[in-house]
Amino acid sequence: MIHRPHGDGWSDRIAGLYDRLGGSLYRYALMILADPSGAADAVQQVFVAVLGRRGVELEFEERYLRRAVRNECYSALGRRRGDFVTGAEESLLEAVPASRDRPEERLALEQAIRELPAKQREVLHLKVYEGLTFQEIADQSGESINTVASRYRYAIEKLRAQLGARVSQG
Amino acid sequence: MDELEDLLQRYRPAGPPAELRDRITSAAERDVAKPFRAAESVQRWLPAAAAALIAVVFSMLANGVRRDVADQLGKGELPREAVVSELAASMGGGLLAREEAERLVQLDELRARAEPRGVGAGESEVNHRD
Repeated sequence: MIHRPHGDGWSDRIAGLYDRLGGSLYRYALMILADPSGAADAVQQVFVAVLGRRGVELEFEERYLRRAVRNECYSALGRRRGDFVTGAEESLLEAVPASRDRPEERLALEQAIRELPAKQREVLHLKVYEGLTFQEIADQSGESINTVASRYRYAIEKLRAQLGARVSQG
Repeated sequence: MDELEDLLQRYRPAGPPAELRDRITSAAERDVAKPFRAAESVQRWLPAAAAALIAVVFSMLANGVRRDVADQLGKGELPREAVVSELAASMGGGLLAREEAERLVQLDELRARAEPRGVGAGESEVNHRD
């Protein structure tokens, strides 16, 4: 009879890693893909890849995981090209707090966000929802700061155009 | 803050579905179990595999010894008793090895006696056809 090594705890560590980072990784993937099912698949793929690298110190994994999720999302977008289907029936956004949800307003914003290119959605997410600076986004994505800033500006302009009367120029 | 920024701040990307955590943690549990299942499987088959390997090695050894004995008997280089002794010694000596050596030499003698008859019959058949 073979006994498992004592104190393995690998699955507990993966669960802990997911509890700590899973939500933000999923949201990041969701904004790149604009597809809840695809985002879940991308995050799962990345965690499965982590499972294959047992022994790696998970405390150093956050940067790796974010980069891996980003790569997985853009690979998924590349595979989908030609028969692109988004989970349009699934929610992309949630109100903060939930009690302030206005479904009509939310759906209009979701629709406008879905129509942005993936890289603009990514910059919008990192800037608005993660509060990163353009420099931090540039470092994370490997793009120049000018490219990142331009993508953000284009995204805001398109959202404004799409949402029309709902929003006015500040 | 303009109205668009205000609108964006009232919402955020939706959180992951609850089942995603289950999918990932069950994948982790399967990953933990995998090497142990493999090791248990190896352990189960190890005695049978070892026995099969030993049988193959002994069979090859016996075939080799038998060929040597056949050569030596055929050439008449060694008396029968010397062949039996040498063969028993090559199998580790002792009573059991001696008995096995006797048996092998006996088998070989029987085969040696049978072979010329077979060849003769074949030749006869060939001659008959001619």
